[in-house]
Amino acid sequence: MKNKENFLTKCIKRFYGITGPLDEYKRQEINRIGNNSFIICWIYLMISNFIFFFCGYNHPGHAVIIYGGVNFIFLMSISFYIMIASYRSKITINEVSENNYKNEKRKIKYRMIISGIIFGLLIYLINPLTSVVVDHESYLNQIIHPTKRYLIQCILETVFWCLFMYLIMKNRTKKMK
Amino acid sequence: MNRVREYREKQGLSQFALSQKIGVARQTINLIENNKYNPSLNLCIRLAKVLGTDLNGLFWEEEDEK
Repeated sequence: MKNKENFLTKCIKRFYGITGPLDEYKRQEINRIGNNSFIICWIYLMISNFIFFFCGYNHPGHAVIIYGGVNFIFLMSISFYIMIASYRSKITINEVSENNYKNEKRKIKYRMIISGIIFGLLIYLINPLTSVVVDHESYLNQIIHPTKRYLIQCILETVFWCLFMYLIMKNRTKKMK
Repeated sequence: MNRVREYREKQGLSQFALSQKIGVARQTINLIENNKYNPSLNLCIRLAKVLGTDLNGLFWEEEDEK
């Protein structure tokens, strides 16, 4: 029995890393994890906005930089919570039959290559922004005439990311007899 | 305790085979069998249909069982 998945369902599955069917147990767990995250985010936003609004009055430059950093740390923390909670409720496990296992592994490799290309392109386009802000270099110049070092750095980052994601995906896939 | 495991074994189905027939994950079947998850009425009906029984047979507790 298979239900057609709409775009929102696909987004939810991609966000939480669910590869099997999104059944009612998984939906219930997703709702629980999502609600917890939302409450934490809401409290954080309320408090941080209040604090940085007043800090920004006297030290606007510092406030912007610190707010950005704190937001990033908060984002990482909430992502870590979602990852751990999804793992503990076992909603990310993808069980495949023994006959299908090889096929599934091939699918994971294919998916990783596609996402690796997208990741590599994004890294290639985003990384030079740091030099634009810090060293006041030309963005277009860095994109059109990249240095060898920069290209190697991008390739290494992409390969490392692909390997890391592949291991996670492979770890989630279990063979069923 | 429900009788999902009993009926499933009677039908000669594995948890994985049953899960594929009703379109849920195997873990969900495992959780239902171990009374760790209360399925919705819709899922109960699908389970009963596939296992060739009714809701009473699957989920109703007899007095002496309690």
